[in-house]
Amino acid sequence: MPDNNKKRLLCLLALCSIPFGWLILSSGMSGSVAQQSGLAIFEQRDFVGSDTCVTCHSAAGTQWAHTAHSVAFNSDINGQWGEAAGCESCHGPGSEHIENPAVTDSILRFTFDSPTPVVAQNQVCLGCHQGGERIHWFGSVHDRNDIACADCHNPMAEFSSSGLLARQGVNETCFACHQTQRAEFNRRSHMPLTEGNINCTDCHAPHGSVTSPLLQTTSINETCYQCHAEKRGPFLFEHAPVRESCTNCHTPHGSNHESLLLTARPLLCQQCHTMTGHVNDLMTRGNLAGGPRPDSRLIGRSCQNCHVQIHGSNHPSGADFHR
Amino acid sequence: MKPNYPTFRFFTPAMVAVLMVIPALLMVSLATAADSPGNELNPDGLAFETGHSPLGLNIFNPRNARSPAGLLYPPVMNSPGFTEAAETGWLYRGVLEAGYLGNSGTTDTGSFLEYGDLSEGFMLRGLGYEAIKPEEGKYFRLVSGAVGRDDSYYHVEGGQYGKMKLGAFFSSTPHTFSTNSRSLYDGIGTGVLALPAGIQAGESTAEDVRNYLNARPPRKLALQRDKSGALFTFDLNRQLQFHGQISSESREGTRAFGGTFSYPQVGQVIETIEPIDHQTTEVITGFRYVRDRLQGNLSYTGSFFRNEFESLTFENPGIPTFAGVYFPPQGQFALAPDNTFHSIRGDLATRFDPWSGRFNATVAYSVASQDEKLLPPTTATGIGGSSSYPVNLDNWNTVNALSQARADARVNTLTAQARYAVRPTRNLGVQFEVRVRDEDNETDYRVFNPLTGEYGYPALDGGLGTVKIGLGGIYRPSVPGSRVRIANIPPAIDRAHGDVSFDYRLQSGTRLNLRLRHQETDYAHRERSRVEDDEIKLEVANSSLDNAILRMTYIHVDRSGTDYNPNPYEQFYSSSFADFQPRFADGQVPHTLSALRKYDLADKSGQTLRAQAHILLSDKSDLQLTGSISDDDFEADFGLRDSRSLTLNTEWTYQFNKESDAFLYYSYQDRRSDVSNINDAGPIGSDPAPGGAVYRLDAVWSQAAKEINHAAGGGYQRAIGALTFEASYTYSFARSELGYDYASPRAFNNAYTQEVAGNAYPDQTFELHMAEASLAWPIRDNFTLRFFYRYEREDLDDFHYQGLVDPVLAGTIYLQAVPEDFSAHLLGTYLKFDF
Repeated sequence: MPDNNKKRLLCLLALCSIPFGWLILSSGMSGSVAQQSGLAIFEQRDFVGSDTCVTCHSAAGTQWAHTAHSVAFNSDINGQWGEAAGCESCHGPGSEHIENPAVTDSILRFTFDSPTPVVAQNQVCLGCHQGGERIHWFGSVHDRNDIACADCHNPMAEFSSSGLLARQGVNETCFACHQTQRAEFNRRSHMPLTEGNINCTDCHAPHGSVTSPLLQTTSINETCYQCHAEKRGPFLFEHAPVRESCTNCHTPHGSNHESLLLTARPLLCQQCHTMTGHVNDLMTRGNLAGGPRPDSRLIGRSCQNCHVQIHGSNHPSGADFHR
Repeated sequence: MKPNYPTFRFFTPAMVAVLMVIPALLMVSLATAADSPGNELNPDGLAFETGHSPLGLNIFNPRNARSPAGLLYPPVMNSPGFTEAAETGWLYRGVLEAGYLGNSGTTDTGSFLEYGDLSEGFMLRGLGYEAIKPEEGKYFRLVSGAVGRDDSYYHVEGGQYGKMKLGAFFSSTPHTFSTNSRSLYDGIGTGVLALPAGIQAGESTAEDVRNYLNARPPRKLALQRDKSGALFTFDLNRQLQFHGQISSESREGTRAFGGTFSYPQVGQVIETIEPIDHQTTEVITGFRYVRDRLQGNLSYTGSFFRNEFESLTFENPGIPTFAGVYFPPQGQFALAPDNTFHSIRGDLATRFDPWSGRFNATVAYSVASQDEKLLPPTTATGIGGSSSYPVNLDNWNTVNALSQARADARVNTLTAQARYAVRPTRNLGVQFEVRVRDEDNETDYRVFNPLTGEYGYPALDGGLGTVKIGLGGIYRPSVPGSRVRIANIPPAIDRAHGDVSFDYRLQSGTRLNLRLRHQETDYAHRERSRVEDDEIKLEVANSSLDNAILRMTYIHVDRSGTDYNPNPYEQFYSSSFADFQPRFADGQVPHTLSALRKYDLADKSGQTLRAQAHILLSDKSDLQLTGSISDDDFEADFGLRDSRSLTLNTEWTYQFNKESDAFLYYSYQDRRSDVSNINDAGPIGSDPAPGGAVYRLDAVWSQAAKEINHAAGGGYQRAIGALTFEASYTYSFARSELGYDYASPRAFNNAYTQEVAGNAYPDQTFELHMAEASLAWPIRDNFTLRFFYRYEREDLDDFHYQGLVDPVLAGTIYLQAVPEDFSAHLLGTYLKFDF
């Protein structure tokens, strides 16, 4: 490990020492949803029970009964919700709302017109769902942009097959905001996402990650290798930009070119290669299959007609990725 | 509250559960992890849900609510209620949907079949079963579709909330590349591609090969991907959870591959077919710890890739030969080696009282390795190379000619990240982030033959050395300019970034965020030893308006670094030897053009502007507008010089009532890039600079790429009495224009005129239309009849394949796997039974 990286790691460890030091000095780490969320709605009011709620909210009650939350809350296996089990686990005690149903803000609502800040709304969800896959939620791009749990999830009814999503599936949920990606997935070459074989969360972790594009793993290549393990190597002869990032040559969501390539070959290769020899010739339309000088450097697989093992070669004679 | 109970009862939960668990356990024995259910005709894997519920969600509001970000929630889907099993406490529901799928049109093309099984015939479209025991929090759920087809899926999960979960799945995905390829070889799908009887290596002519190929039936190149797995989570107590999953994925089939024995038009170039028989097993397990102020994850991931085929041998037809040129009888590829990946990762998150502090950190260490037995440098025999510099291939065609028997390749990676956020005041937040990623590539291979004491290898099985001695691959100290590879180049990257961001919330509902980031990347054996990126990111968001949410982001990136060395690789070439003789008195043939900059390392100045507006047109209508502009200037005279893009998206949503809605969208993207290069004049000097003898300015050329994309679509869903009608349309169009310019015909170094060369390739275009409609008709309480129709059309013009009607062109033999257009109709009739 080079010295400069040791220094970087030391800086990182120093930063880590702040919370660890605090942790050693602190104790008492538990709290109810009310305490965790710090919401006034959860304080100084009484729980009325879900049966009371559904006397008015009958439609919501019927729809909600189909959901995983319904089963989990009703059973209250670990006794963590007590008299709050049901509607009031999330919406807070309903006594004030019962007294004056017209004051809708006396219970917590997870909607656009809710006066409760998004951060506080999310804290109610995280009261049960913090940690695990959401351990990097705080500070993530979705958190910083005030994206609410309830923007992507709607636990009130079956909007999706699983995950209590707000839309029919994972992809539709993501595409509600990420519309460029929806367009890209309808291009000539694309991952089988619109065909239902994969979805956005196979690669991305929308609840937070250690990478800027919210990847499931710690790097782009590691994410790609989850499905393309044959590209992982490491190979005897590596192609440096391939080892660095698959996105040096491929675009992950969809492309107008074969194999999710960024641009057409041989131009893609010639962006970097001009070694003395054959790679820096300008291929013209005269080199097309129907032209006067058809050239395999342009036709079909282009450069990969010969440099077959462009992702790396394990052959002792594969230094130029021919074998 | 209790669910609504249909009256019809057919199966008991216990009976169905047993029937479902048996195949589930079988799936577990086969192999995974969180694969999601779905296929082309049911992308979201819906089983129970159909249409929209007339009940809605809120009886006090005729409209659907909006999410906190202002997005209209869609109508609630309609799903069957649960039936109570007598005195068991279990409630259950099930659905079975089966029918017939018909098709017509050009349904045999690779593009139509790409990722789905849309063949005609009976289809068990969906089978779903769910049982719950609310009092005990127990549940069981099975969802499957396209049972027995090539794109089937089966997911089963059960457990007790707050205690444990068990699950298993199996899914199949076809991947068809083409259905029209024609290969010369026998043995396709195996590790040996042999010339057929009637084709004699070195003796058959192009016409013989052409006639043979034209008489062969077209072949399908496709993979079948089957993935299965199992998972569990056990809540050991309220704070600690143990989880694990194992999956196994197999891929079997064939795909197009290349192959060459020399320079194009000098020796044989031939497209081959790679046999695929891959198996990847993945194991993930770990613990999750959760308390109010402290959460931690500790996990292990292991991935084990196995390839049934370690090599692919292919015989040489040898049709294009220069007089006296040696042509190797066969070549051999090393296919993807078995490899192993282990990773241990720990995550931690805490929160603090002072200033509402948040801290999270991750440390991960991984090892990727492979130790495949190495193949001999060649499988050819006899004397190869040129008459002046013959190579006795018998000295190179055994593993004794290797400096080591196995690859012993290994990359270790350490990733550490910490993020610390505080909010000193109600309106001000500050966040720090540090990330380090350290990669060590320990692969060390000497390209040395202990039998002969020579460095290098017989390039292309001896076929390349006949063209130019310098390209023969074997080091000859007595020959000036004998520059060959003597070792592998182990690339490795160490990258670190630190950033600080300030988040300020104005009373008006406006949020400002400023982030400053500095990133350093150290490269081993690249043109730059260090690259530094400085980024400024400014975000503005406003949610104070009653009918709109606005966001805008501006990013500026500056990249610089250490001096750019266009040839950092000499230590891996024989030119680093003391006895190496350069080709010329003043030096060696240049490795590359000194002024070219590889874009991942080049100086860069980049700007991106993104804007998003979500407009609430009314209580039943939304309009979204998003757009971005980016411009990256690579500050290079040669190589990729700049890249620009413009993206615009809009979507309109309208909800007529709780059961009917519609949406329309349109997206536009314009991407452009410019590349410049110089065609070298050949190995005639040692000057690597533009304007020298090798890289003459009259051989400069440039290419400009312009890509225009339009995507549009819409959907409509409406309840008509008891009927549910759904329709959607998707359109996509892309045009890629690739133009070029050149200083003179020296740029293309071919003996044809500028009139023939022109100044652009034919435009590459792609057009997709897909229209779908379905009508669901509940003919009885528990039976729904559904009619489905889809029209799909794809048109593709790709200049790489334009005019490729002759399988043998200029001596190169092609598979002719030319992408095909298609136009197809699908018609399905299904009966859905709720039980």
